[in-house]
Amino acid sequence: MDSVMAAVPDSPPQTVVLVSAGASHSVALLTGNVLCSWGRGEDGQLGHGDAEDRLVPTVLSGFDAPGITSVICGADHTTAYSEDELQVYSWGWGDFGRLGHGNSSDVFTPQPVKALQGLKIKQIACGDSHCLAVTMAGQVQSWGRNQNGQLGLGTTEDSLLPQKIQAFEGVCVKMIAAGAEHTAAVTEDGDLYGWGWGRYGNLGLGDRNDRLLPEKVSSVEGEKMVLVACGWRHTITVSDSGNLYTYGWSKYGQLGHGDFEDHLVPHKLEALKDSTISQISGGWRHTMALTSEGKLYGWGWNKFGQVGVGNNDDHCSPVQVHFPEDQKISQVACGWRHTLALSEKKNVFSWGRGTSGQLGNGEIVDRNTPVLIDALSTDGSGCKKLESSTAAPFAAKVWVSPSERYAIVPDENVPKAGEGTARGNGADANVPENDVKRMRVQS
Amino acid sequence: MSNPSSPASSSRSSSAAAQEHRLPEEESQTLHHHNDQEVASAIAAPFPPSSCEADHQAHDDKDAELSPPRCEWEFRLAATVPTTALPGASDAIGSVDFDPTGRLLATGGIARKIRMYDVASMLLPLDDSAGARAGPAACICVPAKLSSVRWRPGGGGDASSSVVGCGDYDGVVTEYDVERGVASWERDEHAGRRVWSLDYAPGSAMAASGSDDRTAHVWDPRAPSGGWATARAGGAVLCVEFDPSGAPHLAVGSADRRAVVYDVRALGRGAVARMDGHARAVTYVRWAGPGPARRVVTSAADGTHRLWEWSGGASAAAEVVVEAGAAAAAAREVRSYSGHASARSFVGMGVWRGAGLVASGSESNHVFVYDLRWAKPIWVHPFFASHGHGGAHGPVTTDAAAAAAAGGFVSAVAWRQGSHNDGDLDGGALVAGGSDGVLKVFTCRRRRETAGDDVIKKTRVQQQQQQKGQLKYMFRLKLSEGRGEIKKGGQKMRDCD
Repeated sequence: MDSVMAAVPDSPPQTVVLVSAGASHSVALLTGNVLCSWGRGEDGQLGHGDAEDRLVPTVLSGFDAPGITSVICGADHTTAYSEDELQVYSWGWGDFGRLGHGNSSDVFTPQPVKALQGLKIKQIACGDSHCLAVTMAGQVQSWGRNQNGQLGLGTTEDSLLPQKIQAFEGVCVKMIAAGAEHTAAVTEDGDLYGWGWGRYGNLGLGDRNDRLLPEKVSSVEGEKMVLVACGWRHTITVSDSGNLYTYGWSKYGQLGHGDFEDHLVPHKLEALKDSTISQISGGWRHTMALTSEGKLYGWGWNKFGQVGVGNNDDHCSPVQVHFPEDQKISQVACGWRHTLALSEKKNVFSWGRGTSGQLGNGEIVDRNTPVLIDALSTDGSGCKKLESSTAAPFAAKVWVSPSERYAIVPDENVPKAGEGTARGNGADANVPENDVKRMRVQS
Repeated sequence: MSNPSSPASSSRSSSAAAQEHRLPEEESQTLHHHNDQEVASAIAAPFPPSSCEADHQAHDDKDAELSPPRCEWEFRLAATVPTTALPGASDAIGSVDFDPTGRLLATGGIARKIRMYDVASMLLPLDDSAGARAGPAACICVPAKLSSVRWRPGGGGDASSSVVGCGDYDGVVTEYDVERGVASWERDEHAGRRVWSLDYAPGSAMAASGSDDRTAHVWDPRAPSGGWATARAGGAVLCVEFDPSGAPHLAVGSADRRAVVYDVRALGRGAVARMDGHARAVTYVRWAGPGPARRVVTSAADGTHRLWEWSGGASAAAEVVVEAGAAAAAAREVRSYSGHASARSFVGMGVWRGAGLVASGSESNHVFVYDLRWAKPIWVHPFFASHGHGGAHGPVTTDAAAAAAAGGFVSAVAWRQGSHNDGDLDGGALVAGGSDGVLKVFTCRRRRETAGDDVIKKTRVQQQQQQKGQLKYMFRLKLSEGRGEIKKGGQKMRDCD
């Protein structure tokens, strides 16, 4: 062996490309085609092949699809898209067919959505129990729960497999967003559409009725819309001039207009009219907006600190979220009760509810100001010391029976206060003689 | 635990086999179109056949321990409700609850849904109803997995409850308006730690939740955003139940292996009674019927149910608040019941207070019924999904052993306690839910000794049907088997609401 060490250039540091948040879990896509997940794992939404929670970002080491360009969380499931393979993957809670595999089984490792194979996907959106994908050509496919018409197919029949929304024939959709049971879209022409559950006015159509087909929202002050996001029962949209509009449920102030009144049509957020909004995200009952200058604002439900402004009071008007050294933020993602942010310096911050480990800092306490996720941040360990999945190789399809992850009696050996042994919601506090969760491997 | 199995048999048992409680040919009222007759075969504990003399001694508790349990009750499977989940969806049932009138049934579990059933529709035979009624009358999708559902007691009278409360895996207690299908309020005060149990006091005067955060909270459901009282336990609080007689007592069971009873007027002063003795986490506490002593039945992951009693007076009004510092009464363990399997999962437990019966599920995938008087079960029924209508456990199986091996177990049970409208004191209903989402409804009736009693019973039933026209019991009237049973006059089913 040659004793001379060849000059090996240092590989560029690995950094986070984007983050996404679900009901109680979080995911991150890193450079070098690496996916990490953390938080609640009871239904397979973390994709590690088991039903365990993770308190720190953990690499899906068995998932080797090349060229992953996006990873998006639904409430209790996750999707990813491989541009190289032109393949969508999904995993997690499977009820209502939301994973698009043609059945309702829970999935514990990423599995390809075969019906979408070969499609060039521009963007994926996941709601509570339904999903949509927009192709490069501007067509929309939808699947999952459809009891309120959220799939936009004109019926209320759930769909276990993706179906094309025929109503958008001839229309080029630019961006799509999904809430609890409703969907919103903006087209390349700048039109705004809404469909599905609409009882808080969250479709923006001026009433509280559901829609089974996409319906255009009346033009708002002549503005063209370019961005759309959905919270649980509210909708947020941004115009090409950078104005922000919100509509729907505001019981917790999540519309940000300074009161707690629902709005049935898009209503301009006056407090931010002097800012150009570049990115938006809707949580369960809170909202986040990012300006082109990298400032982050939040408002709405704040019981667990998910707005991130240092207190736990609900806010019905935007409040700025502050970060160390006032670093600029480039992306924000809202989960149900927590929030993630990625800064331009490639640091990742989290705040809000932490009980299931969704904040990714190894603790299970709530936080009401941004906390650095050390494992993923350049100011931390810079993705060099990431935990990995230790589950079975992903080639085999793993299934954890409901009996293994529901109605398990918690251990009577109670950890002392302060011990970090309590993981998640006690789901894995096994009784001594059954330490290994039985898993069934299906081919 | 071996899986007992017995061939389905429609023959009458001989007197020598008096300990085998085989049910005669069953008429199962399934909610699907199969014509299969599902026979609920039952096996009693393997004791030697008794003589008639042993029956005479049954009055004596002590001797009853030694003599084999007599089954005064006949059970039959009245309905099987297959899971309505889409193929492959996870659907374990965590909790079932009859409303106080006994007309409605609610279930909740891993599927994040509250399903509500009309009990009368479940018990009707298929050819009687206008079209097969498969599935729940109503369904509410909820945001998180449910550990417990409870009908909120109404203002009294005959009205069925229209509000159902639930505790979920996100630590939230939510109340839903059943008619509108929307949440009326929620409380999220357990720091995101799982709620294991929820209960309402009679008349909805109070509500309580038990959580993984090792506390039980007690609050006024009429003012849910108001304050609440907290009781702390040494481990996760797995079960809470208010005294159904209206006395201000709350029974609490914990993963620290203890069950205690609190006076809710002074939670902070500590327990008024303690039940120590279980070897594992206490999974259920249920109040037993009123009597000279206060009695509670507990279940634990040590595979036993236990009956406890302590003297504490029966009258709520006369109850004196325990003085600060007064030691809790140590309840006496009266009896331990075993036969079922419960080591790692919640399997369900319920007490039919009026009849003194305890039902539970089992990790062996059976429904067990015990009589409080005897330590061994009086009725055991295998639960596996009927052929062709599998649950959510993967492949359908008709084999109890295979179903149990696949991890299937009976996970929730509830008795219909009886409403003040129910004139038939010798019949009951029991619902059991499985970890595959399947529900089974059993009816039971007390055996009678003579034909004369049967005639009286038939007349009474007919009168009830004519007058009420509500629940139609599909009783099969049989002559007694002439075993010379002693008629027990003392034990009447009482309305305990």
